[in-house]
Amino acid sequence: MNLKQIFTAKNAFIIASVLLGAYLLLILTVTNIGRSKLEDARYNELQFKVDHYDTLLTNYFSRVYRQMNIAANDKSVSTYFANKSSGMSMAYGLGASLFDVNQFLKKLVKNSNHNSQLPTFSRITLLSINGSVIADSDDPDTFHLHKIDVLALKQQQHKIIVDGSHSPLMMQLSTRVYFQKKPIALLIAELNPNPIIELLHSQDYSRQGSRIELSSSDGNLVAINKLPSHLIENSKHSDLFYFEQEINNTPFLLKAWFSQINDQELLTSRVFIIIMSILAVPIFLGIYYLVHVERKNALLQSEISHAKAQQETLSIHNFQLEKEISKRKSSEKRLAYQATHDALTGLPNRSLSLQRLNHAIDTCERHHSKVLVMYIDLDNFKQINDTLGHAAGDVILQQTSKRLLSSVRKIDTVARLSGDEFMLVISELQDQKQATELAVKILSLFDMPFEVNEQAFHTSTSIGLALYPDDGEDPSTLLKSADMALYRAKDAGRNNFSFYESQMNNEVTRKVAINRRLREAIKHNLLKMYYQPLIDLKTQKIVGAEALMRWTDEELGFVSPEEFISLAEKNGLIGQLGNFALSTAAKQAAQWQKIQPLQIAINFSSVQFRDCHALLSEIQNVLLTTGLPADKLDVEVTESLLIGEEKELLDMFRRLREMGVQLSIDDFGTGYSALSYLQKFAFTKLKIDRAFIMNLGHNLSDQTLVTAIVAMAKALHLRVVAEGIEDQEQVHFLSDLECEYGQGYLFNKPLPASEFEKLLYAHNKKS
Amino acid sequence: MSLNRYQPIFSCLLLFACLIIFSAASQARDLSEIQKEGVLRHIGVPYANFITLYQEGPHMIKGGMDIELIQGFAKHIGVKYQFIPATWSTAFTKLTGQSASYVNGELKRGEATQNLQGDIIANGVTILPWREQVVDFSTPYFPSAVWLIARADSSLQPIIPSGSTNEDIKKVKNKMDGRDVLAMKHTCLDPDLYNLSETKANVILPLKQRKLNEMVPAILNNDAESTLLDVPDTLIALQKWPGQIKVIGPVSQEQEMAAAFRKQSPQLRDAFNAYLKQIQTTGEYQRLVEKYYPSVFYFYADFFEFK
Repeated sequence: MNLKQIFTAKNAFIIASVLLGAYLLLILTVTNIGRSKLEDARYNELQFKVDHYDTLLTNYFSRVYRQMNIAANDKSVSTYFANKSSGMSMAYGLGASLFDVNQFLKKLVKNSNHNSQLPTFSRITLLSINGSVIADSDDPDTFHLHKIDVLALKQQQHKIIVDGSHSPLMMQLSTRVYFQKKPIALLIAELNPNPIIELLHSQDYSRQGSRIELSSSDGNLVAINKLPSHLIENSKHSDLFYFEQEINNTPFLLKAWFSQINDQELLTSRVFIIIMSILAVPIFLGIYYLVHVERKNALLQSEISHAKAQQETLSIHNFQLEKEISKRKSSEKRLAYQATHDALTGLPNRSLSLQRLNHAIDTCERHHSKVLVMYIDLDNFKQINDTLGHAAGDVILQQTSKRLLSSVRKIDTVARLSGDEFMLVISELQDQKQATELAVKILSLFDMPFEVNEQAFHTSTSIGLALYPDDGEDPSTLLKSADMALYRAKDAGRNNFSFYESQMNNEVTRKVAINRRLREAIKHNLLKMYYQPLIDLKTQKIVGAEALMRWTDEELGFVSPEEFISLAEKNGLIGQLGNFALSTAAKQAAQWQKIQPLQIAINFSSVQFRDCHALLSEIQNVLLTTGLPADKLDVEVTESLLIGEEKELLDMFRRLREMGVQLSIDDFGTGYSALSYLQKFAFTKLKIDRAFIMNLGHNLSDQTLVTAIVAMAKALHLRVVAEGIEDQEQVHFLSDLECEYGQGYLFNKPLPASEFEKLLYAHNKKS
Repeated sequence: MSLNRYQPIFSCLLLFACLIIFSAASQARDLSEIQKEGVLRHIGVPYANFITLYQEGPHMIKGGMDIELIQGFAKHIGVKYQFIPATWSTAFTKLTGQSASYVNGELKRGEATQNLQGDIIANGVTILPWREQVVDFSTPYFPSAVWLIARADSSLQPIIPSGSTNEDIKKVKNKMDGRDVLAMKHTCLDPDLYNLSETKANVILPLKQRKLNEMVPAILNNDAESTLLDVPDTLIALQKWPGQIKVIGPVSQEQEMAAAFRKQSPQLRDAFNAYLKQIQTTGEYQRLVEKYYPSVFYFYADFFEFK
């Protein structure tokens, strides 16, 4: 952030302008220093160049001297002088030698080019000491001695004679020729100036102005001339570099003039510095202008950036808002779905299914067709839930929903109303036959076992069916009708279906009335306990009594215990009824103990055993409050109780037995007659159901069965009570079997407490 | 019966006649026969720069001005070229089938007739009167003369030219009195050709057969003080041994060299003369001479100006 603040556009401009100014100053300084350095370097370079020219020329002349020395010693030359000295005449032999010398000189001139297209020599003449021409590469008649002083030349091995009267300059190189170690002749070679000029030119590769010349007292050879003559003439006052150097072993002086730096390199000259200085002015002006504009723009820039920041904040808020809205929308959608659908199965719930039903009714009204409502309830689902756990129950519900969905059309509705209750709404139904077929199909869905925790589990279902418009004209009525039909199906033995019939309505009305009145009866203590004596068949004495509940309502009249107890088991009143029976009967029996020892048998509903701990505490509490001895209480249960709930029930029974309470199994033979529980639970009595006793006199199979039951009980050390004894024949049969106890109308019908007390007194007086 | 008696003699005569006839036919080998056979046989004696022979391994390498000249001629007449090496004493025999020699100022012909081995002699053959009796010469193509050459340290001094060759010859011959002079029979250096006996010179003839280019080495070897030598060889010697020999002066008049032909081969000679003229006109011949004898032009500039 700090760096960003430092490097604002404004600061950047200022820094850039300072740097640029410094840069320009630096360039100017460096250029100035560079220029003077360059001049020094330039002088040195030129001095080196002149040295190089000198070396080249010295080498050139040395080579020429060498060439001429070789020529002076050539065989043809020496042969000529040898033959001449032997006195040979030109006519006889010497002429041939002279011919050879001439040929040699011509060849020498012709082949004298050294690393060049140009010959080194223009002409070579063999001159006798007296100055006459002996041989010549050219026409001997055209040779003139001019400045040549033969005698003087004879004294030197080499000498260069310069003749400035010729143009270009004539240079002749004289070389002594020896015969028998004496100078005998001179070779005069006329030097071609062009290869010398070419040699110097080949080294002059710059475009710089220069003049190079070979100067002697007798004339000058100008090799390079790229400078105006007036500059040379006034060279002392001009800016020219001038060098002068002697060329070894020659009469020549090498003179060289070179132009100054500023004439050749514009960019490194003073002009460059001036141009750079001029260029700096518009650059600085430009920077000033930019800073000025920048200052003006600064405010605008800050406003723009502020607006931009606001815009960014707003857009962030907008984004968050949109996100929140979409979140809420999806949440609402989810809530709406949850409100109308069952979470476990994903099926429509009660409210949505009723809407669908309503819609189906509307549609069918228009098409004059029917709507079928199927009320489906899984049989024994509670048991599944209780034994396998709720998770398993959930799995079964989910699988059930899938099976149901697979069996209906898309336009139909499958809904879960509650617990194990499902509803199907089948629209546009043709007739009842189609409904029947569909119900059969639904029932068959449960033929296949359910897979729970890798275990197969069978369950069945009961279905109540109601049709629009026959069984109701609105959804709630139709649902109610279907519910009633379901009850009927359940009552009819489950795994079945039933159509709604109008009489069902009456049954329901009665049930509702019983329900309502029963509550009232409990509230106002209108229920009565009756007691039926238990007779010792051997002694014919009363040894106990079975407490039986009786209810005669003001409105409904006598209501049978089967009717109101089964209802109480469903509507949760059984607990209160049970407690009433227990406390009343125990209190009564405790009082009757004064008359005679008497066991009081009290029936307990299997529903009461759902909370064993509470029931046990209640029993303990009643025994404590009434003072009834525990061994005088006989708890009667039915076989159906013994299925499942083994551990808890077993513990409770064991506890009761430890207390001394008696345990009887009631209605033996009518329920699940699994004999294993007789061993498992510590029963004291077994009561044979009246159904087996009723026809005992003349039904052989009943006799066989009762005989077997008594034998089994004996083997298990259980005492046997035969219920529903109505004649003496039955008593005889049972006595023969040594059945211990009997109960029935032959002895006494169930009596109110007061009457039973009288009977007890009377019975004790008699005995 | 008598006839039968002479029958063998008759048969021998008949056979001899046939041989003569066939021999005559073979002697008559001229241009047409050569062209028919397709080969020109060049007889050559190694001499100066006209013909040089030297051995290089198993091969004999030949060269020289006359080799090139005759090779050019063979090509001109459309036949192959063949070189027949010879000596000065066998060259004429190989050309004519009959030996010829010059002894005591007289020509002597051999009796035996031999097979012809060549068609042309060209090796710088000097035209001499006796040779003209034996062969026909072509148009002269090279000048020559015979000079007296001495070692440089010899007391013999070169003459001062008088302007007259005859006078100069006299001067030279006068100097030869009592001097050892090397000469060679059967060649242009034959002492009989120049009447050296009159000079009272001590003429020395080599004991064994020498080549002409061995004359200068002989005097350098002190075999003799001086030697006769033809101009072409002198020119070579002066270059080869500068300062070691000197030319005293002429022994002969100017001579000319030419190619030699059988007298029975006039067509071949005519063809050669025509060819020579052609190359002299085109300048080809001058270039050939310049290659082998560059300095000859100094002495005989006129000879080589052909029109």
